[in-house]
Amino acid sequence: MTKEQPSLVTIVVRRIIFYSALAMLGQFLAVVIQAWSDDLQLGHMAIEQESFSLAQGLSRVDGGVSYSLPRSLQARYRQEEHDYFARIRNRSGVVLFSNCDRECAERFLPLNIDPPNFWVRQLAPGKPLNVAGGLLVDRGVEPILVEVAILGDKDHIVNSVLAHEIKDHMATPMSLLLLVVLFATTLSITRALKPVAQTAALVPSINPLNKNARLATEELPLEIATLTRAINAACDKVGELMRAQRDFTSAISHEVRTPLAIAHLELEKIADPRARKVESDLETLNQLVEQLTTLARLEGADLISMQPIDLRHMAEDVVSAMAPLVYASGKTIEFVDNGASEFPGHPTLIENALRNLVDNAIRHTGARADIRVEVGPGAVFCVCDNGMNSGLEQPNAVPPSSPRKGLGLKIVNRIAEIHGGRLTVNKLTTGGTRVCLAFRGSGQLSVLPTM
Amino acid sequence: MGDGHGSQARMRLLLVEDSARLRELLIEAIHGAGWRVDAVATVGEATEAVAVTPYDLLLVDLGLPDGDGLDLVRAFRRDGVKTPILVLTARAAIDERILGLDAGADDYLVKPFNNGEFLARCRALLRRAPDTKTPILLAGRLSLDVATGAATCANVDLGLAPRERMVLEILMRDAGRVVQKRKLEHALSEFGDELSSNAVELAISRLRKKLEPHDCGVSLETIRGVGYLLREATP
Repeated sequence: MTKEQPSLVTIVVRRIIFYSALAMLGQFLAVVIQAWSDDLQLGHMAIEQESFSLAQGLSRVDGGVSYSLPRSLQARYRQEEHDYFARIRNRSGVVLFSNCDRECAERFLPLNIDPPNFWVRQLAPGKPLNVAGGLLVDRGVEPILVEVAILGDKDHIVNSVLAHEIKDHMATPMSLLLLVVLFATTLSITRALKPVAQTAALVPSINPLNKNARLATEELPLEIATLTRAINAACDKVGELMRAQRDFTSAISHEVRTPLAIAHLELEKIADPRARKVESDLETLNQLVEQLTTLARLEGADLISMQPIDLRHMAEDVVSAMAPLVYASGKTIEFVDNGASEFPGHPTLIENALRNLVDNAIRHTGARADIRVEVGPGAVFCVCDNGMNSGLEQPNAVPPSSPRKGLGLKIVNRIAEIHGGRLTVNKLTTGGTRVCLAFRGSGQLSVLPTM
Repeated sequence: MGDGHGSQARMRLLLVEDSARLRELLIEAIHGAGWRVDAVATVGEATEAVAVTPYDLLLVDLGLPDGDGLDLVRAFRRDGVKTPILVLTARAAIDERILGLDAGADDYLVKPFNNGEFLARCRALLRRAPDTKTPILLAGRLSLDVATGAATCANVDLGLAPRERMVLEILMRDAGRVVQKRKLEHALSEFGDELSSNAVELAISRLRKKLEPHDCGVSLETIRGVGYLLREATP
């Protein structure tokens, strides 16, 4: 996964925020249009808001009520030329505050009338707002009637009214709802995707060749179970392909090797030296078949399940198995353990690599060469020879016209890659060659030059 | 080694191979070694043959027309057949070799092979069988009578001490193969005395000295770090 790829939670959260913003915008427009088109309703809200603001100036004094105009409203209600009028009085008609003249007072309820809890009256239709009304406020001592008249609304109280309306009835509740939705969505997605993460972690360890080693689909949500079944089906197909490839290479190998065996045995009966040359050519052909089938099998092998490798024991076995061949070719072989450690790997592949290197040393050194197999320190093995070299197989030194040369080391190199290891080939000053294969944990990966 | 004379001469082998030409060539090689052989081409024929005839060695190809040779090997072992089995096969991969040995085969010879290699493997298996009918082991011109302990080279008595004889017997039973040093150590420890750290080297050194004056047709190689290899000298 790259940094450019957002997580599903991020995508969903972004979309929720985007669509919520769209919904809020729609709601905002609806509120504004509705309020703007209904003057009486707008006036109602304006009177109510302004009355509450004015009521902030009420205070209790010696069992009674006094009033002082709030500082924030002084500019609006104390100007000589103003369009805003206020009158604060009790039910008995005692006025605590007023900036009204006689004309203005006529827009309010007469002082001798017991006021209702709220009243509003449109003084003129349309905008700007021309409205008067009052609100009965109880500060614990006695109900106080706050009356307001707005004539023209130069201070644009209506904007503040709309802003309060949007804040109180849209922004606050929708924001709270949005937070809850975002939290719930994030939690839900994270929990729902947990099985996906668990499944993804298991996928690399599936062995396609083992039909019983598949991802469990029980107790998974339907969609994830469907995906998991699809992965299992893909593994089945990969397993079938790997089996087919293995069977194919095995069949090819069988079809070629049996005639080769017959040819070998027939040739042995012929004393002519040319028969020996043909035998040698047949051996070369056999080597090519073996390397090609090994390469094909490498790509189809079960590369998933690793096992602890006892390198010392394995190398000892390989040296034991190949020693008769080494001595039959007039050379010698020895084994040295420098403290090999166990490491995880594919035993058959590691053994194949070691056999390949020893075989390489046998084939490409001169007569009476001494071969030494070293293991350790750590997870590393080396095959060395003391020269009499007749052209060690090295990919970089292989003439392009010779397709066979290089295959053996290509196989070993591929095995090293599979194990995250490194193959190195070094010419020794003595004229010999040292080929090493270092695996993870050997501590030598960083110091060995890359091949 | 293994000229067919001596006690291996009356050995009887069963060859299970479906390729007619390869079968003919192997029969020829086996007869050349002085052994008798019955040859069949299928699993069914092999099963019938083993049921009625006691063989000293079974040579089984894996790719048979009516079944897998590995299943045949498993069936033999399941039925209690203890005869050594040499698998002849084109399946060369290491894991396939392991499969073959796990199935109960005693050795595994990958095609193509030459006569010498084939007969050497046969002889090794005939020698290694602990209940082999022959009490005489042969390698080159070297002979060891397991029953009497008499070791001769070209009919000359070598005069081996018990430890040297024990080492030689193990090496001859595994002639052509590397015998790991610890196996020899284990064998020598059965003499009861405390085993010195260089007891094996000492026994090998003495054995070499007794073999050297004679032309025994074998060479005793030291595989440093692993063990020893008794092999026929190249003619």
